Amino acid sequence: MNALPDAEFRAELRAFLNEAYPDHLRYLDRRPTIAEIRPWLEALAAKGWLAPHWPREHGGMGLSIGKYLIYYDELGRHGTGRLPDHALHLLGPLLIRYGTPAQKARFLPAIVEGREIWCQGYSEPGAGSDLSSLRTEAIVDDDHFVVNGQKIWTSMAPHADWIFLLVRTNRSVAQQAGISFLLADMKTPGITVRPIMNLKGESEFAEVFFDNVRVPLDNLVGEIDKGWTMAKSLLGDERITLGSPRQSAYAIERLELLARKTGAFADAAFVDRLTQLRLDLQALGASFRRYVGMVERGVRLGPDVSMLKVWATELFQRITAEMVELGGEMGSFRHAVRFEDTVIDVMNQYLEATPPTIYGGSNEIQRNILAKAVLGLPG
Amino acid sequence: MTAASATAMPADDDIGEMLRKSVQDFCARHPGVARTRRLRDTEPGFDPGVWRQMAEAGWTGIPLPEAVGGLGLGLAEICVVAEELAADLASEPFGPATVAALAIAGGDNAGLKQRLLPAIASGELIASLAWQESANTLDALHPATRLKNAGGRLVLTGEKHFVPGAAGAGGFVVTAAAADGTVLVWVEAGSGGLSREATLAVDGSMLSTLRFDRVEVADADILASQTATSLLLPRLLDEAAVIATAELLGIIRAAFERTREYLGQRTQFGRPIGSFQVLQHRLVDLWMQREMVRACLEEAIAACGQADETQRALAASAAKARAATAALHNGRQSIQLHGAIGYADEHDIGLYLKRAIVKSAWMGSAPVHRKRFARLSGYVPQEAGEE
Ligand SMILES: Cc1cc2nc3c(=O)[nH]c(=O)nc-3n(C[C@H](O)[C@H](O)[C@H](O)COP(=O)(O)OP(=O)(O)OC[C@H]3O[C@@H](n4cnc5c(N)ncnc54)[C@H](O)[C@@H]3O)c2cc1C
Repeated sequence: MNALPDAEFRAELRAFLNEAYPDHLRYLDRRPTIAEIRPWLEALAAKGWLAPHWPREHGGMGLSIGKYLIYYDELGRHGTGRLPDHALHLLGPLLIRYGTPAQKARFLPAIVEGREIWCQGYSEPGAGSDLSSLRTEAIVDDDHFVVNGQKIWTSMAPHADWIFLLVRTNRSVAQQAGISFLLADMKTPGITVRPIMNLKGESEFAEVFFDNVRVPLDNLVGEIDKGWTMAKSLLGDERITLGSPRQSAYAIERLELLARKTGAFADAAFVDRLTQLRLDLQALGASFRRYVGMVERGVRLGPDVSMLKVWATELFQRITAEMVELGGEMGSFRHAVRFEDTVIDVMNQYLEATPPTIYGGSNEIQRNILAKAVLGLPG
Repeated sequence: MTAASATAMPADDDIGEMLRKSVQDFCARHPGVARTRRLRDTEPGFDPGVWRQMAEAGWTGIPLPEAVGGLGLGLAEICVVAEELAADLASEPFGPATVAALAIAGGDNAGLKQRLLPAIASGELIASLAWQESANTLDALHPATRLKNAGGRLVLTGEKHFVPGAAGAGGFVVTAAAADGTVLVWVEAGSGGLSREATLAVDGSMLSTLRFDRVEVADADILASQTATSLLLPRLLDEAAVIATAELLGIIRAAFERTREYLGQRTQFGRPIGSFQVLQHRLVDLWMQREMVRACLEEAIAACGQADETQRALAASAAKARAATAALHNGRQSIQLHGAIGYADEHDIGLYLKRAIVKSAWMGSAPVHRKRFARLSGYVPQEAGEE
């Protein structure tokens, strides 16, 4: 598939999207429920197209970075809803690299076949940006770990079959040294999920409580106490996707549409602001393509790539803030703004743009890292 | 196509990197900051001996054909040299002279090219482009300056402003409205009827007003016919904006690097000031802007090699607008982060801000390019007289 010319690859994707993606879920102004998105998940899985970046031997498409980005670009253009993708992006690549043969055989097929949904249990009430201060504890008891503690902000937890989590297995060593990586079945006795409603009114994330939860020793990935560096090492080339210009490109089109509908193009001050946003998007696109070019040439990306995430997420916020202001009273509508022939999802875009500066390493944390790792400023 | 318009040539990374290295070595031997200090507020404002050595290295003829002594390279290589010389604050007029060389090489007067280009490549002749008649414009195709037929002789009358490096120029490429449309005319410095008035710019360089009072022009001095000019000028202005972007990137880089080093050295409250998070984040934001200038520059260079004129113009304006804003911001913040020493003339950091101000305006300020970008994006109606 990597050998296909880009245009043909796009055409194939489009044909499949037209055929398999449910029309009523295109450009939804909310995240589709699991029940809604499942047919699409299964259609992708049946075609072998669920894991574009996984190696073919593990059921992935084995796409090059260029094709991988086209893949997401086409899904975005078609307005597909977000899949439960934590296992695709994080767990799968981690198991491929560090899992035992038995773990790979047990878990990978169920992920690429869309049979099991995973959630990611890293954050805790007391451990957000300072993740390595986490306190959920796992103590070895015979052939099991016994896990006690609490995770929070766990996306998809209410619908997940499994959770991968970071736990403390050693309290006598430095913070980062005593952390291990476990896999737990969400049906295990002692696990309780309490959904948390987000600003969009969706129960997308949740608290997950662990009360004497018994997890087989076989579900430890990598070595005991060595989970931290392993989990961190995963932030590879895929980080680039956090800086994709796609969301901002879509949002600015909506902003332009809103401007046409409200006559804002007659306002020179608005046009100047809009132009600046366009220029900001152009610069994001140029920077994004520059990094993609590096990956294609086989350059290993350094910490500097996270500038894309910072700029992309802040630009997305600026565009959507402009939408809300331009809409005036309509900009305050909770649901989409309707004109005779058009519907513009102002508030959905605005709220969508709110958390990306917080998760995936908050933008403040990204700037801390850039200052030290790239600019070499003193600690 | 001549080599000058053949900027479609993809940037050869090896050639570019070799060139970059040799400019850096040159600058280490001839530090530009020292010349900028020594020669500011004087004319011609640069060191002719240094210019000759730059010519020997081949930099005065980068886009010119090898037959006239040029290197036969493209816009990418011009930008490498422009960026490095600007980073060193060299006072020689590399950017403006190269833009004028591109104009001459792009004309359709073979005889005149044969006469001028070898002298440009060898460094004997510096030319400057005289196109601007008012501030804040990118319209070169509709000059008020006229080339008229007066009793069988062609005479040039009009006024051009903001001409850089005019005192050191041996001649000017002048845009003028002739009977059949806009043409490019070659006017030698010292021609009868040509007068010059210099205005001091903040970086110590001079911007000149040229007055043409019935300056006689021979047929042989029409550099580019109406047809050639209408093709050449829009492209030339885009390429010039891209060269200006490269210069701004160089200035940003150098000021940024000095500031970064200072944050590691200067101690207050018992710690290096670079350990204060608010300063770290500010520096990261400046760095991100610098990286985006770089990315926009690369795309603009590539777009100048493509046939699509709108994409070329969009990319050039996006690059120049970003570079100009980033350079001004970077310059001001560099001083802020230095504290009072940054405001002292004895410290070099202020020289970068001043050069950034001049180069931000050269070939279109950020607002001018933003407006053009808006028009090209269809946000506002096209103004009469625009491409
Ligand atoms: C929509 C959403 C989905 C999520 N999904 C998951 C998930 O599936 N699994 C999971 O494990 N986690 C998830 N998270 C949690 C996410 O990883 C955390 O929110 C993130 O790590 C930040 O931690 P915190 O929220 O505790 O904020 P805090 O760390 O308390 O930060 C609060 C503020 O202080 C700033 N701050 C903190 N430290 C510093 C510092 N050193 N310097 C400067 N500023 C600092 C932060 O940038 C932020 O602005 C999700 C979050 C969101 C919003």
